[in-house]
Amino acid sequence: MIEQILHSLSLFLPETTLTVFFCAAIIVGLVAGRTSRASLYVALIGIALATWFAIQQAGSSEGIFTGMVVVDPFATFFKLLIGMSAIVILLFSLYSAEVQSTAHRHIEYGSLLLAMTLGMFLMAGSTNLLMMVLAIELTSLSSYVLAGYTREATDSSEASLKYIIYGAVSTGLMLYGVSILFGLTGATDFYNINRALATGSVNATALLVATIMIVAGFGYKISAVPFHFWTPDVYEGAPVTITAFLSVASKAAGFALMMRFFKTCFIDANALGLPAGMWASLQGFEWNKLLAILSVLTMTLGNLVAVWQNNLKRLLAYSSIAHAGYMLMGVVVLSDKGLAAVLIYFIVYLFMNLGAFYVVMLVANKTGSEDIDTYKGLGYRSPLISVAMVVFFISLAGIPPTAGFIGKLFLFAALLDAKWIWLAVVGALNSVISLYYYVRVVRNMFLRDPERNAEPVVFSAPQVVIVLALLIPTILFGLFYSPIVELANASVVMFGMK
Amino acid sequence: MNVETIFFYLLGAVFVGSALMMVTRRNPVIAALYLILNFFCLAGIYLTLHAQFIAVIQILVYAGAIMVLFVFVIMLLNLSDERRLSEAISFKKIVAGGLSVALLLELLYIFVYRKTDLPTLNAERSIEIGTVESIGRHLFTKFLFPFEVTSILLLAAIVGAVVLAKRRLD
Amino acid sequence: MEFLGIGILTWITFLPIVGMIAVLIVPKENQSGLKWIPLVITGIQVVLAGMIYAGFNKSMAGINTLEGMQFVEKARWIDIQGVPWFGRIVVEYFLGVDGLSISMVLLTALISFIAVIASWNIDKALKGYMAMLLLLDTGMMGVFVALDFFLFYVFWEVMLLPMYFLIGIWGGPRREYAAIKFFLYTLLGSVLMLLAMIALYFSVTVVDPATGEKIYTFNMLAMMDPANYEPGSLLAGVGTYWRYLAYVALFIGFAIKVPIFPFHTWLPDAHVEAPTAISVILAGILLKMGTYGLLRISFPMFPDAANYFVVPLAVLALINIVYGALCAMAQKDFKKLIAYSSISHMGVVLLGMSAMNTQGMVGAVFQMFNHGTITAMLFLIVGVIYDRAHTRDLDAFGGLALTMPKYTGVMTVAFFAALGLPGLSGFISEAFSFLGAFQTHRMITILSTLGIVLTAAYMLWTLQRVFLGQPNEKWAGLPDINGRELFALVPLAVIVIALGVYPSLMIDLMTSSLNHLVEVVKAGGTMAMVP
Repeated sequence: MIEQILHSLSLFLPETTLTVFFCAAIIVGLVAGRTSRASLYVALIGIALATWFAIQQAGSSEGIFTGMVVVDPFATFFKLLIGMSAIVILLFSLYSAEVQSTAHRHIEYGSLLLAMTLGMFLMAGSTNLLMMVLAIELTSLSSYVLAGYTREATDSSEASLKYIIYGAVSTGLMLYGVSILFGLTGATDFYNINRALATGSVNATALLVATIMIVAGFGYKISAVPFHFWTPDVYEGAPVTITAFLSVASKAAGFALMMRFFKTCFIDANALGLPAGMWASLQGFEWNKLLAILSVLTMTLGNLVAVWQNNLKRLLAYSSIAHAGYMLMGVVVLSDKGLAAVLIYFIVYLFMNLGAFYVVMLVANKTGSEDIDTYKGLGYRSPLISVAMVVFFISLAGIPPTAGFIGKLFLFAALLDAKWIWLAVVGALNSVISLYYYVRVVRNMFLRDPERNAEPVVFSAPQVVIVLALLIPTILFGLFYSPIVELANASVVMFGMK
Repeated sequence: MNVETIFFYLLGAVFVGSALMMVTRRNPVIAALYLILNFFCLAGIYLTLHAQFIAVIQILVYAGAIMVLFVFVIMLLNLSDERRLSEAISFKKIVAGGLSVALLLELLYIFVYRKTDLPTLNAERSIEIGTVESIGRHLFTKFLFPFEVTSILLLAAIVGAVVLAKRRLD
Repeated sequence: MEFLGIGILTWITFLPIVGMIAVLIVPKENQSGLKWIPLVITGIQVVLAGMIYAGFNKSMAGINTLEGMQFVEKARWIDIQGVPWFGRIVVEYFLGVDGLSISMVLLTALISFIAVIASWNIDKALKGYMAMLLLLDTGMMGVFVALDFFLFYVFWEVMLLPMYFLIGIWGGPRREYAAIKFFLYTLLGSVLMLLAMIALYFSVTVVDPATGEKIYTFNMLAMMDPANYEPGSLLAGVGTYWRYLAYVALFIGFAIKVPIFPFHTWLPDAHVEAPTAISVILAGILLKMGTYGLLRISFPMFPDAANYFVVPLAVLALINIVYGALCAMAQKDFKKLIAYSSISHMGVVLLGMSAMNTQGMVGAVFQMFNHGTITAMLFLIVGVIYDRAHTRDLDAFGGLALTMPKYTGVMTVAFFAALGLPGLSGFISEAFSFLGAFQTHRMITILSTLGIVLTAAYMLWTLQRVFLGQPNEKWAGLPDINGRELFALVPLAVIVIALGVYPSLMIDLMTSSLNHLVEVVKAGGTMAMVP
């Protein structure tokens, strides 16, 4: 037992690092004084190290801690993604006026970001119902606090309250679903659930109900309709850095867990006669139809409501809901192609969405407002930042030659390959709708005449460097996408699955 | 119908009843007291499942410590002027209510009218499941990892509580 | 043909990007530099196009054979080693011209050059304007030389954003509305095209010469060969439901660009609001992409569907011709009139295509070229008068022939070419289109000739209203056309007259290719008849 645990620990280095730095961030912060940035730097180092250790694990595929979590290429991919976005977010935080205005709370900010990252790392690797719930709880708890972190109590109370109540309800529903699933199969381990389902004796209706309830938990994490109500308010109320983090990393972790849950629990590992990479559901349980409906609702509602938004953070919140809908399409198709498409989309989404949020943050730093009207004439006052924003938006809309197009291309490819034509058409039409609201911002930046004598807005060199660091991949991966596709193809492998 | 079943239905009825009462009471103190009753029933149900240790812990920790703390806090803060968050019955509420009822009926249908082959536990082993020894063994071997993660969860919760508390101080 | 080890098609396509970077580097204050760089770049483009014209072998057919393509450049752009469940992903950088695209390449180079001249007195944010114009140029040229569907699609979409900005920033009063309408319409078309493209990708495999394995491909030529379609794939077979559906999706994508009724509503708005040079590009080149796409992609890849839908296509052509002409007749705005006349003239292209014979096809492609030159002239002419009078209201003018004699001379050439006067290029192409179509769709063609009458009517009526009659005192002092404007207009006029007198200059380029195209489509069509 001890050897087993020690061996597990050696494969658990990224998470251990995060835990150690979590404690370190608190201690260092206390020693360094209230307004010191030390905790932020500790968090930055901790996450960078953890990400580095996660990269070192590339290729290994093993279940650790008596099968509670696994280390496999799929988990490693998401750890890399989450780690990278956490690093970017911390860099944002160093330049965020909102975060710097509450310097006396840097300790909590840094340490909770570490805790949240840890929770998401665990979500990426959980293969047990118990671990699944625990990891989600750890992530949620940290994000509740971070979301309501800067504003004074009365301001953010609605957002925080909505977040917590929705979080509690969906977690409760999920727990109920988990307990029913446990009752049906007698197992908490994903692989054992799969085995129990493979015997074919599980009541299909009960299974469906349990799955719907568990989907509620996932849906909350990835903000899929109808579990999305918290998203706009929280995204608007939270500091931009946290909003960006929630929209990328939290969503990625939710998707990672959801895809692993569905694939390891419900896929017939021994199905015969299927083309390579196609899956078959156990017991003919067509949960993917459920996700297809969810996907259509999510992207359509997200896009339609985004059209009416005038606050950029709210607009990006609805756009991120829509993007969750696009990514769900990849899960629907029941194939490795679909899974790979989701992974590709996430890499792309990381750059373009963080980039868009970063520009919003920079502009809010200068003007104190996220309203769409503040963007009027920005194109003439700060051409570089505005051009970057245009590229990020064009990429989000999925127009070549940007990386966003590649993401959409592979999603549609997976759908058409599996003959989900109607869903592909719905997705394609949705991207046309989405163009409208992205272009509204572009219009304000370039087409609306600037106040003639407005001063140019100048940004400091490091800020511009961060923008470029996000901008260049967004264009480059649109033209030469071999690396991201190869990475995604190598990362769909899950431990214990064919 | 054996004794266990009778106990289960009895406790279950009180359990559901007290939960309903708790949600519907306007006075927070009375609601908290109903919640304590609810916890006691839950502990009783644990006992019928041979989970003695958990039953005791349930009473000690939840019904004893946490709820008493709750009641004190409520009394000290004197939250009599509770404000209603919203009153009107909106479309959303009707839909939500409808969905909840649908879910309830579905569950009833499944568990009452459909035969389900639920996996049964070995009766002889089940006596031991609830003992301190058995729980301890599981907690520190197979479930060591979730156990440790829980501690990190609690640490994060403490930090979060500090943030909320500090906000008042600022 | 290569320069510095890089093929001529790459040069002609990406030279504007080089120019764009140069423009972005030049400081904002250097106004003349910002104008001369694009002029020189597009000038070189015209020279390169001339070299392609000179080196073009008229007897090679192209269309679906690699051997028949000229100036071919082929390289691996994306090559992702496969995993068993995904297969290898290969995208090629594959350029080439044949008789179908050569005229469009010439047209694009010429019109871009003229558009730069026409942009000479832009003063608002000149730097951004020129950069966008050059980016647009690359997109347009790329569409006409790309032979890989993926590459084609990227070029197709690259045009959208510059066009949005060019209309939206430098356009008329309702520019925002026109720009977003253009953007959304075109994107709607292109997402449908994207889906059809992906469906094609998963249906077509070729053997990779290097490794001998079967790979999916975006190669357009491979997509034209029925033998390459994987049995059991979505678009395999002949005359299946999915093939018709894919054809319709592609058709809508291209139809929006042409534009074909009922997808035409963006065009009057965009044309009216766009600045002169951009209207010239829109009418001169962008509209041709729709019909070019139909001929390059839809017809040879879906010959069965093309034959199946040939009568609806002819009917749409009829609607375009007559409806466009009727709308043009009702316009008071000079630019709107020309915009609707474009719809009518593009209908002639469609009618020629729907003929499914060489005569009609030659007429269609020749009409594409002619419409490009003639409409460019018309928009330039409107630009000239608008610069001076700041109105485009047809009724506000009168007797301009007295004050602006040179202008009237050029205008007359353009107008008579547009209404198809013999001796000018428009006549030849329209005649070919109608003659070709008459053999296939007798009734529809006869009805379509109504459009010619209507065109003559509104063109002459306009001429009369603007140039003849009582001189309007208000415009007595208008200066005549200046040297720069003449420099833009005269080459076009010369081409219009030269091709009217000696059409073989252009027609000889395309006959062998179009002959072959008709054979390919016919062969695919007859296969569909046999169950």
